[in-house]
Amino acid sequence: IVSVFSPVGLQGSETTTPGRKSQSAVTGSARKVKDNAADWHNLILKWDRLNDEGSTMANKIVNLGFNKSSQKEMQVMMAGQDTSASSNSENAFENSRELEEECDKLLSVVDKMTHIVSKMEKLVSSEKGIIDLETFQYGTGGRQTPLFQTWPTSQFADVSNKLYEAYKQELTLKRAILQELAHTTNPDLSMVYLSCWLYQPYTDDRAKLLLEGLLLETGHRPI
Amino acid sequence: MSKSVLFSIYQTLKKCFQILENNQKVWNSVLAECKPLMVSLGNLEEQLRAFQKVQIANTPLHTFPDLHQRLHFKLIQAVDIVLGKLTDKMCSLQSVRDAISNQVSGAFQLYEQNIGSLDLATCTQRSAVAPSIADMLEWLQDAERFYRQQYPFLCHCITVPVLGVRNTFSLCVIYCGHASRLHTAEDGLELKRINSVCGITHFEIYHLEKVLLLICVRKIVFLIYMYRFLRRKNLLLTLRADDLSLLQTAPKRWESLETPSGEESISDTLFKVSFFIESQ
Repeated sequence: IVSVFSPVGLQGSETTTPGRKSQSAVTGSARKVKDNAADWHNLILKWDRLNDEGSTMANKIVNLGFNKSSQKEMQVMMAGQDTSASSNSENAFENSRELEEECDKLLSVVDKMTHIVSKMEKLVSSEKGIIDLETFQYGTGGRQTPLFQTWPTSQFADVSNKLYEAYKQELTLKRAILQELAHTTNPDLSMVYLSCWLYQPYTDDRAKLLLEGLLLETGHRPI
Repeated sequence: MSKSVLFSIYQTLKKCFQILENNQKVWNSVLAECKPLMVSLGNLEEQLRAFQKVQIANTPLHTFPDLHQRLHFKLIQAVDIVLGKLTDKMCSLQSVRDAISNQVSGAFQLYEQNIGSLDLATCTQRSAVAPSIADMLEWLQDAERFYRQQYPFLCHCITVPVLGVRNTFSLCVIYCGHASRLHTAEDGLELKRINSVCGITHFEIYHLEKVLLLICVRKIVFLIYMYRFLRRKNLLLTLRADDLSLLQTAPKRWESLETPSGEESISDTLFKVSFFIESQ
């Protein structure tokens, strides 16, 4: 692994805490782990923004869907009258076009989220690679001193895995919502879909805690 | 009568109005901040209601593990957060009410201490820049009454479901009863309803009785205010469909409390005394 930074030695100012390195001297595996932690933070931030965007679109889809079904009812009621038929069909067409547009936008949001999850998968395999390297260098016991504060290297892989699983499950849920949202006639079920999208049942406080722990450990957040 | 007594009364009244002005701004800004929170509460109530009607097992989402419990938890957590914020706003409103109350009672105390040396003519004397002492005391008392009445009614709107252990609800009702003729019946009914629904109750007399005696120069009016704050903490309650009605009606009841005329009278008072406050 190529060192990005070379260690800077200052006379008499080296910290003696085992495993602790000064900010500018993080090299090798530790550099990779620290970068991964930053990547996790950024990916999750992007995900949250996409989630908010998607929520607005999902709301529009539900409202347009309701307009469509209420317009259909109007058409049935006014079946006998000629004057309103043409304007009704125009509105219906406009509605369908808008609905399709919003569904396409939501699809692109879900595609971006899929891309984020695939990057997360890469982070997981990167962590696994770091563990494999450590096993190769130090044997099955791993390294003597932690890379940062207290965490054994395997814990980084563990955290990455847990986060990845959570977001993967969340993505599966979002795909299911995307498929069903425009066709649901039951308003309560539509509301439940919207709640599921917005409140993300699978990325809970534990996931937040894991990320914060990761950032604290790698020194991204001050202790 | 001595000029120094009159001067100290004027100074006290000036200070009262200045404090009233500052607190009015705080009160209005806090109320403005509450509006979007009440909207959020209404939205969450709608979502919870829909959630209760839907059997996830019968929907295309049935393949997702633990979805019902997880979504339930998230919705309740969101309600909890909004209500926490609203509770903080209530505390701000309470401190406004208390600040005004303290200042006004201080002014009245000073007036009563010097009642021997203040004759009718002095109290009712007006000038171009200063209203009469009698008028100013009356306006201060009106303002104080307004905030004292508003605060309990605003609290009355908010029922606070707080997430308890293992997804059961703890219902914490911040409830203020006002013992006046107009409202006791309504408050009493609400209290009975809560009594019948909840199991263990935990009372805490939050505020002692306070009596304010005002003697007006033109007529003798005895006003007695009695305030009782009841607070129930941590009532264990399993959520039922009819309890969502408390959440649902909260935004509407909040809006119904908007008293633009009351707010306007406070602003009018401040206009009337603006020269007085600015004078040396």
